[in-house]
This record gives sequence, structure tokens and C-alpha cells, in this order.
Amino acid sequence: MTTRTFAPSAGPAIKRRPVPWPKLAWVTLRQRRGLLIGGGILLGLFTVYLVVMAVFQNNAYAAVAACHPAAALKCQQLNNSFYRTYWGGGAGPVIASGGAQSVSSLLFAIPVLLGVFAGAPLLARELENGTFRFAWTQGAGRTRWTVSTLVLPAIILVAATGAFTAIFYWYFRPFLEDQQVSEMLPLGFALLGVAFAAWTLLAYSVAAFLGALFRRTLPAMAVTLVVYIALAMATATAFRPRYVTPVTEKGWNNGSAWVISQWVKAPDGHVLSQSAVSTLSQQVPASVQNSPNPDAFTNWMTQHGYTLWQAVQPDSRFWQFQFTEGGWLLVVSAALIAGTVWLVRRRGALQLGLRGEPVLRPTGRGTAGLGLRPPHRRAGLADTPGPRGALPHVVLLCFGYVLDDVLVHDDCSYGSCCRSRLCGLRRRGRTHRGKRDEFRRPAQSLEA
Amino acid sequence: MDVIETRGLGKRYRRTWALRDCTLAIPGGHIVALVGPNGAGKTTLLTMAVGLTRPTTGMLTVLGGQPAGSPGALDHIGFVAQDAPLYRNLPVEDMLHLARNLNRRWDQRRATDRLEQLEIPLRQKVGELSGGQKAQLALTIALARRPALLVLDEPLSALDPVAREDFLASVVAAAEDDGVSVVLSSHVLAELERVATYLIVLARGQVRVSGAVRELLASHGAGLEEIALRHLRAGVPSSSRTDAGQ
Repeated sequence: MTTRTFAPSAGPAIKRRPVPWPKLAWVTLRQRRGLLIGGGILLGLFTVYLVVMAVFQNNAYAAVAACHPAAALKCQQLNNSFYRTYWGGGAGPVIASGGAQSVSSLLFAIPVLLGVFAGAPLLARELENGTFRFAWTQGAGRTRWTVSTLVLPAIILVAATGAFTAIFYWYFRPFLEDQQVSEMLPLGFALLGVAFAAWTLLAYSVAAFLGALFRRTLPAMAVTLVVYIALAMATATAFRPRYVTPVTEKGWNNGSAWVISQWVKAPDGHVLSQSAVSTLSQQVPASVQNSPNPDAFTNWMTQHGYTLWQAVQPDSRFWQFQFTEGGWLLVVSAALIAGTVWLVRRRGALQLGLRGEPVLRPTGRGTAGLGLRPPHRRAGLADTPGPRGALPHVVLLCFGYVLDDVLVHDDCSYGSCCRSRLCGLRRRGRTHRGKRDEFRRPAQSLEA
Repeated sequence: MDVIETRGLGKRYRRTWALRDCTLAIPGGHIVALVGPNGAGKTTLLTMAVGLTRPTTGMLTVLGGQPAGSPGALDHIGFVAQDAPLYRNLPVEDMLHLARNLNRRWDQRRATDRLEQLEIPLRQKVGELSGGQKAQLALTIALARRPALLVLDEPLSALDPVAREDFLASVVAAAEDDGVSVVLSSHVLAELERVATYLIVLARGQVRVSGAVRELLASHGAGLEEIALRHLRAGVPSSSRTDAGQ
């Protein structure tokens, strides 16, 4: 064979125009088609339910609102039955058996579900299957590919959940207008305004980041779930009440607001302890306790020289709080997405994520990502996870329990379910290079 | 122009050096066989050349002095990683479309013509293709990018003998028709012997032999395997010779 001559067309001096974003967007959308369809179905089903319920609810509420005078017994009964049917759920004539209260709590799970399933596989699956070696060596370059892969689904998620919030508001409006449910309460707050979309974005960013860090989809999902729940609870109980100093006001029943704390001052100006308050409330005569007048208790207390105090976040602060929360969630999410891009860019330089391999990994202190170790070191799987591997392991177990308990309802014992789930993970936990080893027996080496 | 040039190149994973003090200049216009026993550093060298891994020490340039992994370099390198990773859930035609949208240079006609010739159905899912078809699809995608350099990491390891023949024939045809420089790695020299015009033998992270096949044959007066073996044995302590086979 003759030596071929080679006419190079590649000159380093040539200014190159990068692959345009719309082309990369096509790639991202094609790769995420399943996710878009799945997420669309989930949100779509809830949307249909909310729209149907909203029509019933708004009609029923129109009757309540039209009832005049509002204090009349007839109107009170109408109002009560409206709440019984649509808020508490139960024996309603419509498909209302859920009731807004429980439906809202169910919707709480949507941001984390969407975010986790959308975010975790983005990079983890590429790294698991080894397809990153294809994606990152194309002419577009890995940075552009990564930015497109991360940002486009984020935009779609935010737009979809934002639109969903609008539908939810329409559904939820009667309870807000009635002033019986404050939009500042954690139940409503997370589902209204910008919070719903912002929390979805946060779950997505955490999952994407952990996916790139762990290089495993399932552990990334499980840890994201835990991180999300912890952060959401901490926000509702510790951060959110402190966005702005609560308003301290006299009296306990001053309309709709998010009550942070309440206390009673004795005639001598001392603040009563918790037990003193309960002792006191037992002395309140039954006629006052059962009075239909909501101010009866306050009046009785005032007559006896006590003053009631409470610290509240008034409803008027709703949008201020929404934008505060949306703002910091957006900042954190943007930082996580930037961090994910950084992880991907850095991967060539440092084998990040190798040290803290989260779950069941090949024993050979695995460099499995690029598979640069002799195959025999990669052959076995560790029986027990290392100390660093233990946490995601436990999380995964708990996740398995929850799934079995909440979603599957089958009556297999927890142990066997979790074992099989872990076994499933073991199979998946194999690196993309596992298969090759079958073709590469020692006898087949250079001199064979 | 050198398609791959390294100087003092080294790569360490934790405590182990996968490649050490590697100085090479692979000239263009060749089909280069990069051979060596398992764990010799072949994949390390190739993944560094396409920018998937970054060197611990030394320097590495491709296609006449461009930094490895830079967008300008990636534009002109067609890389098929070990096991030909492609998206298994996509139909072949979508896989092509995806690759087309990930590259500035793309020859759709060439890709579809080649697939038609190979009788790979466009609507079949990538995951349902045979090993040989999958390798050919990966090669098709790499060639449709009209690369100046084609880097194939262990392209034959998962193929049966017939598929190996077909695959090598495709590679040779591409090299001859378009003047693409090719670097192929393998741990079995025999399968590359007939097509290679340039040989590099790696062992234990170091270069043992590097030169044009014709010159090697002329200066050593022996078969390629013989040359490779002699150099492998010379550089490896006798106790660890089993590493390179029997």
C-alpha cells in the first residue's frame, strides 16, 4: 500500500463560527422527547382535573358570595357546606372527593417529581452509558452541548409550571377571596405566584448537578429528593417567616394572614407560658367557646384583663415574599447549573466524582468513567458500599419504601422489595465498558 | 503535517501512570496502528487526542499544532470511542440528524448512501442493530463529518470476523478515497497488520516502536508481529512478561 498524501484543510488560523444554538436545541429536544411527553402528560392530567374542578367550584362559590346578608344562618350554612365539599373533601356530589386541601398537598410533589426526573438523567445517563464520548467529541464542543442540554429543559420546565400555576390560581381563588385561607400559608404559597416554578427549577438544578457529580442517575434522584425535602421544610419553617420582620398586632382574629406566633399577656404585663394559657383557656365558659361569633374568645379575655398578641406576615406581603423566594431560588439554581457546566468542562482535567463514588461501584477504585484501567480491575462489584457510599444507599432504601408504600401498594415485604430494587441498581450500576470485557480474554492479547 | 504530536506526555490516575513520558509525532496520510497489550495506555492517548481527557504532564497537539480538544480541532477529527457509543433509543435517521446538528460540517448524502450500501435500515433503532452494523453506523457518522483525522479506539474488539473485514475495508476505502488520516488502536496486531502503513507499539505507558511500516520492515528484516514482540520483550522485565501474552 502506498503512502497517501494528505491535504490538510484544517488551519488553526481560520476563524470558526460555532454550531448555531437552534441546531443544538433540536438535539436537546430530540434527546428529551420522552421527558417532554411524560412531563406533559403529568401536568396535563392535573390541569384537566383542576379546570373541571375550578368550574364547579367557582359556580358553587358564586352562590356563596351572592348570599346576602353574609351573617345570616342560611348563608353560614351555605358557606360551611361549600367548605365541607370543596375544601375538606369527602361526601361531595362531584368528583370533589379529594377536596382542595388534599389536592393541594398532592400538588406539592410535582416540582420535585418533575425536577428530579428531568434533571438527574441529563448528564448521569450520558456518563452511565458512555455516550458522552460521542456527544463531547462532536464539532459543537462539549460546553455548548452542555449549556443547551441544561438550559433548554430548564426554560421549558419553568414555562410549563408557570402556566400550571395560573390554572391552579383560578382553581384556588374562591378560598382566597373568602379570606378563610391565607395565600401566605405554606400550603398556598408554594403553589401560587412564582414559587411553584422556582421550586421546580431548584429540584431540576440540584438533580442535574448531582447527576454530573455522581455520574449515576438513581443516586442523584434519591439524594435530590432528600435535599429538596429538607430545604423546602427549612424554608417554610425557618427562612420564609424571616424574609421581613413579622408584624406584631393586638388580637388573634384580624382577618387573613400567616400567623407566625401568638402569645397572651397577663393583666400585670407578663407573657403567659404555654401551660398557663391552656389552664386559662379551660376556664373559658362553654358559652364563649361555642359562640358563633369569632371574636367572643378575644372579648372574654379582654374583659378579664388579658391582652392577646400575635406576630403575622400579612397577605399584603404576598408578592414581596414570592419575589424574595423566587429570587434566591433562581440564584441558587443558576449557580448549580453553572456548576454543572463547570463539572463537565473540568472532567477532562480532573477525574471528578471518582473519589466519592456514591453507590455500588466496580471495586478497582474505578476510573470507569473513561474506562482507563485494565479491565480485570473493573470486573467485580463491591459488596458493601464504603462509608461515603452509605448515605445514598440508605436514601435509596427509604425511597424504595416510599415507592412501595405510596405508589405500588403491593404486599411484598419491604426487605424483598428493597433487595430486588438494589439488585436492579446493581445491574444498572455497571459501567458502559463492562460488555467489552467479554470480548477480551487474556489469551487474545498481542501475541495470541 | 503531524496529525498527532506529543512531547513528554503523561497521564496519571491517582497513583498509576497510564501513559508516561510519551513523545510521538504521527505524520498525516497514514493508517496508523496503535497497538499494545491491555492497559498499555492506548485509550488514554486517544482520549487525550480528542480532548476527553487532559494530560497530567507534557503537551499534545493535533492537526498541525492545534490544542487537543479545542473546538477547531474537534471540527476535523472523527472519533469513534470503544464500543461505538451511540444513543440506543434513537432510530438511525434521528441519530444521523442529531450528529448533523452537532457539527458544522456534515455530508448527509454520503451518510445515507453509505448506510444504503450497508443495508442498514434508517428507521431501525440503534439499539436493535447488530454489533457490526452499530460500528459501521458510528464510522458512517464519523466520516460524514468529513474529518481530516479519523480516530478509532478498539473498533474491532466487539466484532465478529466477517464484520471486522467489512469494517477495515470501509476504513481503507475512506482513507484512500478522501485522504483521511486514520489512527486505529488494537491489542491484536494481527488484525491491523494488513492495512496499517504506520506502526506504534505502546507498552506500560511508553512508546516502544514508532515508524512507517515500510521502513520498519526494511530495517528489521522481520514481520511486524516479530518486530513488535521483540520491542515489547526488550522493554519489559521478564517477570511481568505475562502481561503481553504467552
